[in-house]
Amino acid sequence: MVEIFCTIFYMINFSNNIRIIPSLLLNNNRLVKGKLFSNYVDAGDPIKTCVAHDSQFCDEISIIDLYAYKNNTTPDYKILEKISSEVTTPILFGGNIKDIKTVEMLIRNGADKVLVNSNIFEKKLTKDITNFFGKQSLVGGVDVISFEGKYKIYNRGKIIDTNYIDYLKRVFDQNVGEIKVTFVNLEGTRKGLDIETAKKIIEISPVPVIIEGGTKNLKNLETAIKNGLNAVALGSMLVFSDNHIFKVKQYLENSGINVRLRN
Amino acid sequence: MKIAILDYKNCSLIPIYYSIKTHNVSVEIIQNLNEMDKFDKLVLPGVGATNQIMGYLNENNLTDKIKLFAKKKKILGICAGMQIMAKKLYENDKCEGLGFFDADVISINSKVYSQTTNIGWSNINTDNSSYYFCHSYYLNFYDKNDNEIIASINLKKKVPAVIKKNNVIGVQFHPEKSQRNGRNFLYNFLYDKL
Repeated sequence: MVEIFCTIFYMINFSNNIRIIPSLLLNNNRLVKGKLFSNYVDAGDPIKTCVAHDSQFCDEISIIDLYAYKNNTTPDYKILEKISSEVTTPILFGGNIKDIKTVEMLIRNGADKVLVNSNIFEKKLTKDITNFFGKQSLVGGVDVISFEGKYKIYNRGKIIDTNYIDYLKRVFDQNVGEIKVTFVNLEGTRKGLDIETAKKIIEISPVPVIIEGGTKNLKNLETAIKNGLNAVALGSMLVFSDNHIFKVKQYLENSGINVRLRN
Repeated sequence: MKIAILDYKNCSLIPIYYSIKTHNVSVEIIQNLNEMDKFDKLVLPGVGATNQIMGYLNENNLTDKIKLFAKKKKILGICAGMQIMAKKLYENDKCEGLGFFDADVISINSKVYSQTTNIGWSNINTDNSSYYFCHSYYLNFYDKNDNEIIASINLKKKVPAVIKKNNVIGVQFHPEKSQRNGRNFLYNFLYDKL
């Protein structure tokens, strides 16, 4: 019964707009994958990986330039240009975005949206992005961490806010066109998505929400989508298992979910 | 065949450049329209706030040149490049568009959609094919049944996805980001099959 209700709920709200998004971490011309925001291991060639996801009709690709973030350098436009020369999938790009010039270069070279996390309250930056490129190009990145049974906001190794709902509301006030929420405790663990918390976030959000962190298996993803998580980013599940985008989407379609299997 | 992509600074260029190039035509990113005769078609790219784009076009005396080009040859406007083809634009500061279509560009509100942005893949109503949309404004035609609306998507209201009038074609989606369907769409534009 609950399942039938969930299916109907999902059909009304999110017909034909489910997004399955490979989440890639870029580090100096290579991809890496970590666990709990550390312990990074090599995860392949970025261009070949993007081409593979593109050929399987993934809905979007999320790329974070980890090197730029850690070393306070400008993100790698060159690799983005190379990806854009071979791939016709939408790209969300993040990693140390501090000024409008960087955003201009990223969008020019193929980012459809930029992910701003640490600098989301830099008024000049967010205002410049929405003024020059429109609010749909600004995605607010939010990392939540479960601490003493409650979700708090995590940034660069610290808890920066103890009330995640209040924090999210302040992010919405930055005129973001979308948010991406990463569950730090779950990231890379494959312990299962926190569907209940994700639902709460989606309910209060005036814009689309991408959820990342902990997808356990295909069944877990199916349940999440039927509960209203219509954009899910997948990391470990695609890197360290025999799952690939086509298999994931085929499973979802067989479960009665309206995915875009090909186009 | 030679295709021009107009670079108005705040826009996406590399994806559309390669998406056109893949169809074995010559393509060039240009900053002005001084050599209009050289080109067979013009592309106005996407990702940008429409008031900024119009500001740039007006400052660089490109507005009239685009209108002149449209009298002779085909133009494709993508996303924001489509929206500037309308009459009045309300993104950030209100401004005048190129005025090709009898429509205004207004923000996505609760009457149109449950969210303030439409991001993701939507199917158009003509052949149900899916394309990637990423926008917070849309074209609101004065006449909802305007025959210049070739295809729409169904949000709470119908939102124009493909519009066409004489030589001018606009798409709210991003063909350069719409995989196989986008590639087919660009082929049809390049080889006059639209």
